[in-house]
Formats: sequence, structure tokens, C-alpha cells
Amino acid sequence: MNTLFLDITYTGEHLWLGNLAHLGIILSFVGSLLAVSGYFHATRNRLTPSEPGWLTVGRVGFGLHTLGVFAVIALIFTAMLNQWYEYKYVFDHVSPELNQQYIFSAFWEGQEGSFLLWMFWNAILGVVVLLRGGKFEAPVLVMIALLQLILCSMILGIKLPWWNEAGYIVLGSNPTLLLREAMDAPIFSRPDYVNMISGTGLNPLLQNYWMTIHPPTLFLGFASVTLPFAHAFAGLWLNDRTDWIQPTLRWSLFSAAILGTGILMGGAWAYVALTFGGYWAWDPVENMSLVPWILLVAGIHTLLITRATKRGLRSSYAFLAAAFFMILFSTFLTRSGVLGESSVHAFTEMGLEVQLVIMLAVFFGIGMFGAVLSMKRFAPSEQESESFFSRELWMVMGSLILLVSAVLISHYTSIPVYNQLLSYFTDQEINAPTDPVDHHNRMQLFVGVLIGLASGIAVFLRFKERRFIHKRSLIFIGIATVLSAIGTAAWLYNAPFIQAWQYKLLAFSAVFAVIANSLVLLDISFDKRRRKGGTLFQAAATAMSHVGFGLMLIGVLLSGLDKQVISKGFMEVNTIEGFDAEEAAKNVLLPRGVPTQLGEYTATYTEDERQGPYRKFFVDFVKTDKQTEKVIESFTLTPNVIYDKTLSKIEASNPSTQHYWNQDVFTYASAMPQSETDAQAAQKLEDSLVYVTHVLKPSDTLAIQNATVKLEQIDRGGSHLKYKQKEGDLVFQAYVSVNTKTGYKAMLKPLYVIRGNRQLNYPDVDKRAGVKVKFTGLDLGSLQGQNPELQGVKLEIADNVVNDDYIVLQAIVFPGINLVWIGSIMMMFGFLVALIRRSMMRNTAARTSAVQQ
Amino acid sequence: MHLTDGLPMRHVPTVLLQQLNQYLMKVSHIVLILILAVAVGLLITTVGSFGDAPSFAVAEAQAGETFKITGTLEKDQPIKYDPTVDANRLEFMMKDKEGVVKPVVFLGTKPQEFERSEQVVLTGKMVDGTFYTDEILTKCPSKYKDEEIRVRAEL
Repeated sequence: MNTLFLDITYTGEHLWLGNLAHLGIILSFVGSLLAVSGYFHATRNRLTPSEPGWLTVGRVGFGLHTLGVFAVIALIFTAMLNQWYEYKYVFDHVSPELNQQYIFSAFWEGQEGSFLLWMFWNAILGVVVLLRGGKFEAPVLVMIALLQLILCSMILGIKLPWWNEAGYIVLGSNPTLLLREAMDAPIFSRPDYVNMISGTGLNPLLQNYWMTIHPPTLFLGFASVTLPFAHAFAGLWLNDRTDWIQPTLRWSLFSAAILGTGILMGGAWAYVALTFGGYWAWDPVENMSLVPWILLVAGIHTLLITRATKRGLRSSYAFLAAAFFMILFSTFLTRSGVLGESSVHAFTEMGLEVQLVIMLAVFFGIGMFGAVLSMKRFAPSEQESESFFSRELWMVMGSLILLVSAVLISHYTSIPVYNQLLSYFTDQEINAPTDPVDHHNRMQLFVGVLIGLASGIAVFLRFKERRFIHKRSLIFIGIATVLSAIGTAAWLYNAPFIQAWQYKLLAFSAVFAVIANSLVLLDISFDKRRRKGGTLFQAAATAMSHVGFGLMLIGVLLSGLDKQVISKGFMEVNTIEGFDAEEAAKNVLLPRGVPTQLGEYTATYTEDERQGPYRKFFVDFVKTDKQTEKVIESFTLTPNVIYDKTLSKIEASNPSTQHYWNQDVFTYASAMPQSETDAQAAQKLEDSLVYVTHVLKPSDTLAIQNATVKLEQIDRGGSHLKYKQKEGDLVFQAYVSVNTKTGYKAMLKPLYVIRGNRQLNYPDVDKRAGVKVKFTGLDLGSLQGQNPELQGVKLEIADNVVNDDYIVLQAIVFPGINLVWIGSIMMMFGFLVALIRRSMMRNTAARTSAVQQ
Repeated sequence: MHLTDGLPMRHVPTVLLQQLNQYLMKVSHIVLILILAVAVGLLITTVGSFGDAPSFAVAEAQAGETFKITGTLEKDQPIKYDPTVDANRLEFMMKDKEGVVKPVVFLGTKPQEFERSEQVVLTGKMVDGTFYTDEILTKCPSKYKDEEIRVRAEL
């Protein structure tokens, strides 16, 4: 807090916006408080009707809350669009160079903005339930409003008196804080400081369209997980055993589809735009968004059992409550700073730990209370099915396997939390397995196997089977097994890289899931009796999700096991006894213009292109037939890097990938010459150069050590990477061609600028030619008349430039990666199709009941 | 087979199947319990070892085994990376949490902003007094932490 300059009256600040936005935050906080109490009493009135006014209180409260949230978001956007840097949030996330298309990304880059994004979706979903929720409106909105209340407190930013040294604590981190309130700096002694400051801008790694679409999708997914839980809890609260199932199932399907898509986008982003070299790294943040999804999918399956057999209500509640709780837990992990060094995603500490723990405790309490209630209220009313080969039994097994998967993943991911807790008692800590990817892969492999088999078998079975096994089911399972065995054998024969029995098992299970589920769909579509009504629709949704799962597994196997690093830059001399150095060496040096063998390809780094902070490298890949030497395939990849504002350091390296139907060739620049990434090294290189001054006229040639230099022409006006035009500048550009003795040709374009009484020069260099040229003056001859004749130019030429013109490249071939995408997209589509069918059913039901009335 | 005694022949298969089913249902409960038991077992075994955070001394004592070691980069010592010699070799000195300094060879390219890193996490093995690693995680100070308020350059 800045206390030095309290008596200064600042000019140029837009304080109205901050005041208004803070008012909005307080409005939304009070509104949600009103909504919680109004809807709480309204729910109790539903049970014993006495005071009907409470529902209105709840609605008005939630309306005010929504208004507040929208207003805050709109105001912060206004400040960002106008670049009002007096606000810390604007200062931290916007800069004058930031492209306007990334303004959304800048908004949710920060902790407060992403909380607001989450609250935005919660508010919208809340309004949907308010308008269409019917009997569940009140109890569901209690839950949403309570969550909003707690989230609001995270951005409230009000001081409360407290028994600590400062005498107060600040509740939440206010996004409308002024920069001068947040930090001390001498510049705040000037009343007009606003005109002199400029923001730091958005992290260049986040400046891409994924950052625009991934967070909103993921947060809609996050927000939507509240609804299945809230509906299930509402069922308990209202002591209703049947009506809650349909809306809960619809919201679960919606949530699974959206959250799944959000996670998938994260994977695609990592693969396409980051340099992980993969789509899934088992990073804590990835894990903790996957776990709620897995639990949700388990919940969908138990809900389907409930609908068909009136059993399994308690497990449905438990799964949905767990999914919701894990969303909150994931928020806690990523935002409390507890993950520390173990994740690339984690936000830095912001002093919200206590509030986050309170949030967890509140909803844990509610969830457990519901679990206790469900013991009695959701106790099964019908007899257990008696057959081992009933569909419900196999679906339960599938759900339990999903539960095991979720527990294993979250357990491992929580190790930093255990260590944090342990640190209060002991210095010792739990040492997690050294390779998390290998660890998770080994664990989840068996989950994949069991789910694949269970999903293939369950779809042939009938609910509430009375016999031991339906004869038809047995025949179909037999056919599917035989076909899958043949298919897997054929595949394994052609895929020698699948060696371990565990992988072979997974291969069979994946093929079985695909074949069995396709068979069911075929069977139903050819059966006139059974394909009536929505059955076919329903079967298509199921089959789509299950086949998608199988295809995804096949893709994971292919891209994981047959992944080939083709940029093997290993040299025999570097063999290390006791360490597999060959396996580790994944990068290769590509000097410009020198063809290098990378796997089946010959790769040549041909040229680079610079534009502002962006630098693109062109790497040609050519594959030739060994016998005929004909070119079979050729393409150019353009891995690129982004420099920082000084143009001397690299801020981000972006990959470039060639996509084929069956495989991808993935590349990125993993290192560059030090003189091009480090200002000090660049200066050292510059100091080593020996310049000789020459005065040349156009068409003059000059022999230097290894080349001949010719001044081709001189232009008025011109451009250079580092030159920023100003009014009144006199600009000259020289075109200097260089022919080396080895036959290499280059064209250098140094720039010379007269600005008032200053002279500026912008040199040009070609490292392969070994020449650097500075354009340092004009030879105007006799200064007579208005337009002095340009006689020649003064050029300083150095011919001992070290050729460090190269890039270090990493190149990986991923086969079958498209199956991963196709499979997972099919899974999400399956949920979507099921959702559409259930919504149609709902409308039909509504129409029928309207007609009956 | 007292169950089938006195039954007409055509009912025998049905009864046998019922028996099998009852048996399988019992088994299915056992299978479910087993799944959970295996899961709990996995949980306990995969927690990893409980003890002090691994250090160079531990890695030295158990040479050949893989360890994850956290420490800090010795910034006064030379950091060698020259891709023209070997694109997959970065050499530096690291001090572990116990204050022991050892040479480290990372078989890869130099991470961005490596010199500024506050903390380095290595996964690898000790071979002849040198720690070899193929996985490195660096934690850098927040990008703009030490940057003063950016004043518009040309006013």
C-alpha cells in the first residue's frame, strides 16, 4: 500500500470505473447471499408451504447477482480495451503491443479473470434453471448461489478487522485494484503518472486461438458439473426418488460433453502449440480436470441403471457429489500454490488459501450430509437382479473401475498436498515415483483393458435379466470375441512394436470395444421391431461413445508405442557407461543449407523470416526412394520462435507439424545460436568483428578475404527489422550483393537514417557468407544547388563473422494420432446425441401432458 | 448331484445353470471386493518411498538407480552448451538441498532462461561422480517480478 503520496491529486485516472466495478462485486455478493437464503426458505416451504414470498426473494437475489457479475466483467473489459493502466489487472495483462483479438485471453489469463469466467457460466446456468427448473429450481439454485457466494468472496477485496499484526485481513483479491495501491514506485510521485506507464502484456505462450477457446469451454464444463450434483441433492432434499433422475441425467450428459471437450482442447493445444511433444503429460492440472469427468461418466452409467431398474440411486448421488467436489479440489490445487514446482499450469500464490479451504470444507460437509441422507432416502426399493449376465451388474463393474481410475489419479496428484500436511509434523516427505507419465500409464492401462471389455459385453446384455444369460447375447458376445481375436491378431502381426503382454491385452480390449459396439448398432438397425422410437437413436449414442473409446485406445497405443524421435543427434563418442545417452539425445543440429538425415527424411534448414518479434525457420523435408532416387514426398515445416520486446531473448518456441491421415511429423526449434538469443553473447560476437571502411559508388565491386562485394544500388526509403519510422527521418538503404568463393550468393540491405542532427545505422549480416555490413554515411560530393548529387556511400564491412547460422531441431513422428482425436471426439458426440434424444423425450413428454390436461 | 435327483431330464440343464449363476453372483461380489483391494494395494505401494528428499549423497550411494533431485544452479560456475559440438549436452554445477555441489550433464538442449532459474529439478542417475539426467524442470522467477514499472520509452 502506497502511503507516501497520499496528498497528491492524480490526473488522468478513470476512478469511476473501479468504483462502479467494485459496487458490482458487492452487488453480486449481496445478491447471492439473498438468493441462498431466499431459495433455502423456498425449498423448505415446498416441503411445508407457509411463506410463498421466499421464492421471489431468491429470484430477485439471483437476478441482482447475475447483473453484478455481468457488470463487473463488462467494466473490466472496458478498462482493458481502453488500456487504462492505472488498474493493476490491466497493467498485468495488457500491453500496447497486444493484438486486440487476444483481449479475451488477457482477461482470463489472471486468477481473478478466470474466477469471473467461472462465475459467468455459473450465473448463466443458474438463470437457465431459474427459468426452466420447475420443482427443482429452488433447491438447485441454493447450491449454485452458495457456490457463487464463496467465489464472489475470492474477488471481494474488502478489509476485515483481524487479530494479526496489520490489524486487518483482506478478503479476496480485487480485480479493480489500482496499480498505485498495489505497489510502491517513485513514478507515483507524479500526478500525471498515468500518461507515462504501460502494461506488461499477455504471456506470448498464451497468444494463440487456443487460449481464446479452451478456457471458456473448460470453465463451462466446470460450472456445469455443479448441476448434476445440485439436482441429485435436490432429489434428496425434497425426498423425491424419481423426478430428479431425468434432469440430472440430462445435465450430466451436457456436462460430460462440455468438460470432455474442454479437456480435449487442452490436449490439442499442448500438442499443436506447445513443445511438450505430446497431447497428454499427466500434469496435475490435466489430471484434476480429468478426474471429475471420469466420475461424471461413472455417474451417468449408474443413473442409466437407476432409470431402468430403480436401483443404484445412492451410487449415482455419490459419483455426482464426488465429481463436483473434485472440481473444487482441482481449483484448490491450482490456485493455492501447493503444487509449486510440480505443474506448469499452477497459478502463483495469492493469499486465497484459507478461503479455498473453507470452500472445500463447506461443500464437503454438504456432500457428506447428502450421503448420510441418501442412506435412507435413496435405499433400493426393488430386489436385486439375480443374473450374473444382467446389464446392470456389468455397468456397475464399469463404474467401479472408473472409480478406481479416478482414485488412483487423484491420489498421485495429491502427493504435494500430503507433503504440505506432513511438513507440519516432520521433515520427511513422500517421494513420488520419479516418472509420473510411466506410472500413470501403467496404472491406467488396466483401467483401459477392463473398461473396453465391460463396455463390449454390457451392451449385449439385458437389464433385469431373469435367465442365466440371454441366448442371443451369448451368440453375439461369441461372434464379437472371435472377430476381435482375428482383428487383433492381424494388427499385432503388423505392429511388432506392441511387445509386452499388457499392451497386447489392451489392443484386444480396444478392438473388442469397437467391434462389439458396432455389432450392437448393426443388430438394432436391422431389427424392425427394436429400432422403433428412440431406441436406435439411443443405441447410436451408446455405440458412438464406446466405439470412440476403443478407437482412442488404439490411437494411444499407436502414437505412444510407435512414436519415433527422428532427430537423433547422438554421437558415439558421448556414450556413458550405465546411462542410456542414446535414448536421451533427442535433438539434432541443422546448419543452414546442410541436408541432414532424419529417419526416412532428409531435412534442410533453408532460410528464416523475421517479422517483428516473430521468427520463422523454413525446414524442407524430402523423402526419396532408395533405389530410383525419386522424390516420394516433400514438405516444408516452419517451426518458429517469439522474441521478447528487446528482440534479443526468446520468449516462446512454437512447433510446426505436418499432418497425414495416418501419422504426424512434429517439429520445433529446441535451441538457437547463443548470439541470437542472448544480448551479452551478441555483444561479444560484435566486439570480435574487424570492420574496414570503404567508400563505394553504385556498381562498384570490391574483393574481400573470401568473397567479392558489389554495391548494387542505393534507395531512398527502406525498412529494417529494428528500425521504427519517425516523421522527418531521411532514410537510405544500400543493396550489397556478396559472392563467396564457394559460390554462395547473398544480398545485404543495411539502412542509414538521418534524424535531425543524429545519424543512425542498422547493419545487416549474412553468417553463411561471413559478412556484416554497416551503412554509416553518405558521400555527397560537391554540395552545390538544392539537390546535391549522391556520389557514393560509406560502408563498414567485416568479413570475419563466425558462421553460427543453425537451429537445433527436435522432430518426432506420431503415427495414429488422428485416431486419438477422432475417438475422443466421437465419445463427446455420443454424450451430445444422448443429450439431444433426452431433451426431445422431455419435450414430447411435456406436450403429451399438456394435451392430457 | 442331489439337486437333479428325481428331476425330469429336460429340467436338468436349467437347474445346473441356476447353480452356476448363483456361484458367479457370489464370485462377482468377490471380484468387486478384489478390484477395490487391488486399488487400495496400488495406492499404498505407489505412494513411493517415505523419507528425506533424495540428495546427491543418496544417488551416489545407490549408483545406477534413478532419483529426482531438487537443488539450485551454481550461477558462478560455467554453464556449457554448444550445439555445434553436441546438441544434446548441457553441463553445469548444481547444489542440492544438503549443500553438496556436483557436476550435472543434461542430455538435451538448454532450457529457456536457464541462467535465471531459481530452482532445478533433475531426474537421473549418478555415474562416476557426475549426475546424468534426461529430464530437467526449472522454476524461473515470475516473468515480470524484477521488472520495474515499464515507462513508455519514447514520450
